[in-house]
Amino acid sequence: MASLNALILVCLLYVALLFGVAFLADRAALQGRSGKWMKSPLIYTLSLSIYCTGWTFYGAVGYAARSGLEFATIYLGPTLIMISWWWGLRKLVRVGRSQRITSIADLLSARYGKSNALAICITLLAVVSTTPYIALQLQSITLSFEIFADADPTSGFSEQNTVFWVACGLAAFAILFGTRNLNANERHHGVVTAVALEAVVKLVALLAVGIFVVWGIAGGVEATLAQIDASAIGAWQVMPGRWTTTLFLAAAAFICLPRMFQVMVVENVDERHLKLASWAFPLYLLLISLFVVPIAAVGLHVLPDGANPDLFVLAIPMHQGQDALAMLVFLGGFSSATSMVIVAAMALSTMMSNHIVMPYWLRYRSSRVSVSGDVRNVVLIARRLSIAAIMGLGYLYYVLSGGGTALATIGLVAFAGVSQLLPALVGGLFWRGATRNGALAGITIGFVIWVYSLLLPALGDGLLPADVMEQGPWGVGWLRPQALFGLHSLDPIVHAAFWSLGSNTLIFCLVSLMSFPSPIERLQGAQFVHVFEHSTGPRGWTGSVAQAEDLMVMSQRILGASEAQAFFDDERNRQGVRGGLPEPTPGFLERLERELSASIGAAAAHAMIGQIVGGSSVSVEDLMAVADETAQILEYSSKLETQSTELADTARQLRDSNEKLTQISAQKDAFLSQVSHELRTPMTSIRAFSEILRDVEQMQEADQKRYAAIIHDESLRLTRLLDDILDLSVLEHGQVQLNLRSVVLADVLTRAQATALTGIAQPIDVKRDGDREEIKLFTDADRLAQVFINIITNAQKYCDAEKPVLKISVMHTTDWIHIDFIDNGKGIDKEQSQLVFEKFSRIRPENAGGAGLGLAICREVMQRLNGEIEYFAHTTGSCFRVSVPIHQEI
Amino acid sequence: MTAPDSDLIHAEGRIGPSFVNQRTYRRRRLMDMARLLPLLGIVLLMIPLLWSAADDADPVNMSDAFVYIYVVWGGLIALSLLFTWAIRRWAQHWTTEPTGKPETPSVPHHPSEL
Repeated sequence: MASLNALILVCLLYVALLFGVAFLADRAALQGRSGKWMKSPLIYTLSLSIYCTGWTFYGAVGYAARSGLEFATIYLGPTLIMISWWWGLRKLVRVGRSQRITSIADLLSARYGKSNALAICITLLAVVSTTPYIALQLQSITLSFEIFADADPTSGFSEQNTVFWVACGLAAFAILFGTRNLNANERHHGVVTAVALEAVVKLVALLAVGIFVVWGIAGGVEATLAQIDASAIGAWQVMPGRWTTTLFLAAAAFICLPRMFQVMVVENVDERHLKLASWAFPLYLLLISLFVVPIAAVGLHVLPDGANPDLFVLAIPMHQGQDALAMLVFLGGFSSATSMVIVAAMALSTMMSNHIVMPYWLRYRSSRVSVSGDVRNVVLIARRLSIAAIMGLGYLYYVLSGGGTALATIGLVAFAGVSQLLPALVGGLFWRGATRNGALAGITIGFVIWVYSLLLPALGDGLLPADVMEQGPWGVGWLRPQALFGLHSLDPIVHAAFWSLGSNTLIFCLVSLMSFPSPIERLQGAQFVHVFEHSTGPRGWTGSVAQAEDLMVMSQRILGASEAQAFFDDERNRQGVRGGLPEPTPGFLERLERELSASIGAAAAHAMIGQIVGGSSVSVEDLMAVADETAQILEYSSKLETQSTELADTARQLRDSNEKLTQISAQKDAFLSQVSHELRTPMTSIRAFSEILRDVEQMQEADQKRYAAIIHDESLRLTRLLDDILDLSVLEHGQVQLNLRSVVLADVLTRAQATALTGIAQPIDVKRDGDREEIKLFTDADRLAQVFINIITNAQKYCDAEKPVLKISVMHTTDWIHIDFIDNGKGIDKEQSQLVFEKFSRIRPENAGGAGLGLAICREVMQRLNGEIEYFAHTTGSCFRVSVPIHQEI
Repeated sequence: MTAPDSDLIHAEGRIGPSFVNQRTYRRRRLMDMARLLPLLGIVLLMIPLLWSAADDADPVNMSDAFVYIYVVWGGLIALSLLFTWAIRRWAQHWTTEPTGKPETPSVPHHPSEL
């Protein structure tokens, strides 16, 4: 008899073997060397066998020993699903692949408009309904240990301790297997290969026991059939309600169980694998269950009364002294339990980290994630913690439920729980009218009824008090958990399945009919329901070289030919491939995506690579992300456009300023040359006459006086010129101080007239307006007088009439006071009239006494006084009009 | 339920031809088979419910029931294998025109009820 220690050693060796297989398969997949066998449909078919857990392995015989052939429904349900693969599973797998689905929660949330609320709800449901299942595996391993321990009295076996350590071991196993690395499409080649190996082990073990029982103990087929008829389960005894219900629940759970979804949809490499699986997996189920009834019948016959029928598979070989067979059976049961726990924990941890942990982690993190490795670490940690938590829950359930319930009951409880996803799943795949609210409402109501009418009663006395079970809560009889609305004659499973799935489906349909889906939901709905029209057929997977070429062509378009070539060469060197193109390994694709996203944005890069490598369609989310990026680029380019317009404006302004500066510079040059010219004339006279005075001796006194007078006059003229220039400069630079006060116009005119005409032999005849001039002005009287003096002096100087007359008339409009100075001379030529206010312009240079700055100064003065000075050609002569704004009048 | 295969989706109000060529006809019957197979399975598996049970006077023997269930099961697997073989053959022979051109897939109907 094998000792317990030997058993543990064999277990550890077996686990090491599985781990080695998984490691090799993962490495092969990573290096792109995955051989034909790894992508073969056989591996896929065998991996589906995680449906057959410890429940199948041990529990099926117990189930058969208690209820006869009813156990077969658990395998007939999946068989029906598999043979309807053409219009059922094929669609599910196609949707899963084209939408890059990572879990059943992801599938439903994607179908119903990427609703995270729905995903969280499904994740919770999945965790709650998988927990009993994991407890079941703990129980089956513990029981099988126990049976060995009973046979080995030297071992200090304790059930509680064993359960705890088994749970820890399985958690460690699942963490090591399932979260070794992160794969973009959540495929785990290593795990799938190990699971396929385990599938073979458990099938071989059960077949071996079956053959041993039929031909070794019973003595042939005929004898076995006879023994079956003679046993306690010798007659057909199936409750129709239970038969149909379990058939239905098994079929539903087969597609809704998170772990089944994981291997069937997520880990699917090629949807054509379904073709083999459609008959090979039912065959596997048939073979694994073929000997269940014989084993049960022979077990009931051979083993002592009171032996646990759940352990017949193990007990019969041990009873018959077949140690090697018992060890094989133990390994088979161990395989069933471990493979289920690993895949279930992996699938659940993916759901928990993707839909619960990561969204909240990202939301509550203040700074944005910049390094991708950062997130990957968080995801891995989240998954590991999730696995630990799931195993913890399973252990807790085992302890709470006492571990005594028959395996089959726990399994059916879990099936009924997870079947609550069926209406939303089928509705989502086949009915475009199904909405998120409908799915959420249906699943919630079904979940609540399932918990109330099946899970809590199954947990034992602790959670639902006995009086609630018997009289209903608060004594309301029709709310009794196992007899809702008075349906008390039904089996608890049938009752719970009827009420939970019935109301689930009803509410789902009603709410869907009444609610209105969001645009994303409607698009996704169309994508899912018409997936065969929206996606291409299964890709050939004819080899990765074609993909590498596609990638190369795409990269050349985006990065440019030489850059793409350099990038691919670099990658080829890194991979150590000689010649040709590098293998599209995950690492390479990641680097390429990063490279491309620098050019076209992350979402677009992801979508493009996904199109080439994954054969998946571009989802609405992808398109929206691409649109977002495009919008950002558009915004950026419009900003650039605005900036460039601004720059053009600035450049034009600069050009204008430059032109102005050039003009001003030219004006300054002209002014300087004019000033030097004007200064030179008197200076020349002064120098010439002063030289004469110095050099000529014996000059007559009269000449001396005359020359001295000339020098004096010229220096006076020079002084006047300099005064004028200074005056003009002061005016032009706005530095003039105005002495504003209230004056009467007549006084200013009188003073100007007196100043201008004093000491002149024949003064011009000035005609004034008299009373009209009696206007009070608020102005600088001296400056205004300066203007008037200038005009009167000019009239005196230039008026060539025989009897020169200057008429000064005052006009009064609403805004202005116009003072016109009209003489009776010839006036100024038209072309010259435009220049009279320019500096150094002289109308008649021959009789010029001044420097030609007078009128320029006048114009500046009037500008300072907010007035104007204009020249008009008048009928009788020239006319200067001085206008003073009226608002300065007091 | 909507049939997934494109040529089974008919536009509403569009009357298809009464006679289709043999290839299309074969394919449609193949799809019929795909849909009928699970129905057949369900019906066959419901038959035991009509049998008299253990508490009746003349119950059906467990061995007979056992044989019946497993024969039905095996039959379903065989039919499924046949179907798989049929679509493989269809894929190899019937999707190629006599000229050697691959059959162009029929244009799928997109219900525009978005």
